[in-house]
Amino acid sequence: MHLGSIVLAVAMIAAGAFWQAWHSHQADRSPTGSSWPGIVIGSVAAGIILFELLLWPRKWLRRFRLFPTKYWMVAHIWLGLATGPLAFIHSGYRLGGTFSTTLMVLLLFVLLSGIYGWVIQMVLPRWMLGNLPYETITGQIDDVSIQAALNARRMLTVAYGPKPEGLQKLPNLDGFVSDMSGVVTVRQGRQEVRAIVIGAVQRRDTKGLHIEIDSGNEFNEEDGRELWGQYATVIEPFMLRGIPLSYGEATSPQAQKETSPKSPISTRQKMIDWFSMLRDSCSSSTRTIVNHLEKLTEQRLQYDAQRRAQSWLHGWIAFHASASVVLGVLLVAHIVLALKYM
Amino acid sequence: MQENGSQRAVKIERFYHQAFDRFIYRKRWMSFLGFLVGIGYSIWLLLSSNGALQVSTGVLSQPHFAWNKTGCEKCHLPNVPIRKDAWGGDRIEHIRDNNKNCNGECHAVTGHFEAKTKTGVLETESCSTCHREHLGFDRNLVEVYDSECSRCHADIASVANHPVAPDSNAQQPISNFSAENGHPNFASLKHDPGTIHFSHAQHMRPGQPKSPNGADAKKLDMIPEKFRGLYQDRVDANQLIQLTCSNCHARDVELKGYEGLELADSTPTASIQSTDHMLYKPVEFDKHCAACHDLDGLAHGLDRKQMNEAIKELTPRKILEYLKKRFTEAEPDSLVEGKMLKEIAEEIDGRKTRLDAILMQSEKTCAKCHEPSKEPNAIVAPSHLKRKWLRDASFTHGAHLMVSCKDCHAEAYKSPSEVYDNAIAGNTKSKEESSIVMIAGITKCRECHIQDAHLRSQKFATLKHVATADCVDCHRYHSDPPKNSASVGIVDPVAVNLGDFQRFLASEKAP
Repeated sequence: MHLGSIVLAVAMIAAGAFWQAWHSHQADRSPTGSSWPGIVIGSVAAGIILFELLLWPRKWLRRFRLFPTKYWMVAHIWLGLATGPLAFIHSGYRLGGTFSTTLMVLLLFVLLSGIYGWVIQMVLPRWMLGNLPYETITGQIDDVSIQAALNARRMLTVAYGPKPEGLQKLPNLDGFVSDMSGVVTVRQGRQEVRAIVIGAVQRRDTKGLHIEIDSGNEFNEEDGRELWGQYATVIEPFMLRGIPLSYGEATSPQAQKETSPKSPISTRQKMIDWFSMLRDSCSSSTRTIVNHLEKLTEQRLQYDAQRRAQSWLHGWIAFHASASVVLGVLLVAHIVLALKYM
Repeated sequence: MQENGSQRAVKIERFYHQAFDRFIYRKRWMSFLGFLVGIGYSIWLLLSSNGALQVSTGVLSQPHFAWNKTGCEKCHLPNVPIRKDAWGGDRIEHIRDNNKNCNGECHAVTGHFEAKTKTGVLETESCSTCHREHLGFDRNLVEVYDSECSRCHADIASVANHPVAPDSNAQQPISNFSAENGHPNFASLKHDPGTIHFSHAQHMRPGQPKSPNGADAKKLDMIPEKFRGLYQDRVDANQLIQLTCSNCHARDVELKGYEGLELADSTPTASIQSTDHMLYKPVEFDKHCAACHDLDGLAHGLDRKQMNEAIKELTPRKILEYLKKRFTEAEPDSLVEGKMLKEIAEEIDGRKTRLDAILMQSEKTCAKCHEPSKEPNAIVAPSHLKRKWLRDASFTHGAHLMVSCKDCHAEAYKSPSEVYDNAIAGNTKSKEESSIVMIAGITKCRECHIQDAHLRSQKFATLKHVATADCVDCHRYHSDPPKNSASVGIVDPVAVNLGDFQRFLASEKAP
């Protein structure tokens, strides 16, 4: 798929360099952009830059199925890379004045940002696939985190009853939930097991998520108080950090910001150690509950990593695209001025 | 129970893609901002006077620097390629328009062998082809690449409108200065057209003796008192005057701090190069010769009419006294047809004989240095002393102060044994010596002026003043050589209408 574009790009560069050198030798002059080959090579480079910019309007016209995106992107990459050498050959291997230097610097920036984006988009998604199994849609991370907090609250409520009085106040999540479930008996193969049914029941999942609990385990009040207490002070603030939520009287993102860096579960290793201590401080009947809370915390940690990865993955596009737009506009000015003062 | 994909999927809003995405938001805003920046910058480039500086491919050279910021249109005609190698730049009408833009309002340049060049050849030459601008303030616009000259001179027959004369230097195919590429020796140095009998070897000996044994050497006290001051620092232990080059050859432009470099025994150490000092002033009898060659009050340089006017004022006695001093009994052979002084005086008194004719007979008077004139009104033939020897080239002595005079004028430093003719006792071969051109040829130039840059850098290890050998180091394009090369001065290669230029500068400074 890449070979055709690579051959075309290399052929254009080689042909341009040879033509410019041959013409320069024939005329016994140093190569310039205003020579016949200089103008043709510059026009080819300008045409490619125009094609590169068409990537954007192409998205508006994608319903017409103009050309498969993958082929378009391959051409975008390799022909785009050819513009650098072609522009340099066009210029006669000189930067010229401030304006033409600006154009070359801009082109270089666009090329480098494009190369960066290309490499990062090849590397990071693979890494994320292997290391972030909880990956979700980035824009939905806050929403999914709130649902996870709701699930955790529901699980604790089902197991130990409502949050005891006197513990740290939790944000109001009433707007995010519609149903609640309880401890039910469900069939797992030939066996019937007790399970806490939770899940995104407010959406399309009517069945919810089943968290198995050991048969015969009884939830005692002391464990409930301990788990609710740790959940309210450590786990949920960590899960919902950065999300502006109502605490009843006032929104307190500042308070969350302050607690987040000091959270004892802010890294994976800290989290493992902390949950290990939590297990030790509760009876063995809480193991399933604590495991699930740990999983939700792990999920949140992965969401943070995903967010960072997404910044690396998509942050460059703003610079690449804006520099490309500046380059495109200045290219028009360059053509006008060059024809006027050639 | 492990959460499956479907369960994870249902957590997602169905229309999540319509939700706010900061990456897309940032991309759109930055692109819009980029668009505005691009448009703003372009408008500024097109409309602002300072924008021209951004578009300019480089700083203009010193002569054109006044237009560096705001004078693009002074040279660049709209939509007319200024470079000949630009697309469409080789069209005759474009070349003509561009050349008119330079030549006329500001410059007044001449053609280049127009009469000897095929019609239409020079019309295809544009100013900017050779004079490349935008290469910095210090760029010398006269520095033209050899290739610009060799475009025609490598195959001169193809552009000349008449048959090539085989002995003409100008019509030899020349690519550059190197011996391999055909620059012939300088035709101007083939012979000396001068008519003055002068022996450099004699005059560079202490006391300037005419005889080989030095018996007639002059001491300081033998010259008139009024000249002694000029030579008192040039006497040796025997009070003999030792002349140097600078005693007769004065620079056309004074170079303070570098006096005395022309001393015969000096070792040049000057590292300066002055393009102001090109040649040496002509030798003047009254300044440089009269100290020893006294005419006893008779003015030098008189023609026949002036001479006769002068002697009308003299009594026969005075004339006789003058002749007695010039023509002694010891020199009977030098008298005109054996006439006695008395008879001559009688003839002069009756104005039957012209004094100048008598004076030309003796080597103690005009004939000592001059040939008799063939013109009726002149006593002596024109000297034809060349001030500028290289007819088609400009040699700048000021650029060669690091070498001694002897390096290039070795013929002027010949030993007495080479110059004195022992067969003729007491006489130098000044007549023969005068016909020798005392300027070294192209081979000497090539010792320092090396065409090949690699060879030049190699030579630099042993010779610090190696130099380039570009055509423009010596030649100028915009001036055909004058017919009379003996009287040529220094020709400004590109005459600039300074009045217009100064008026322009004044208007630029005006608020």
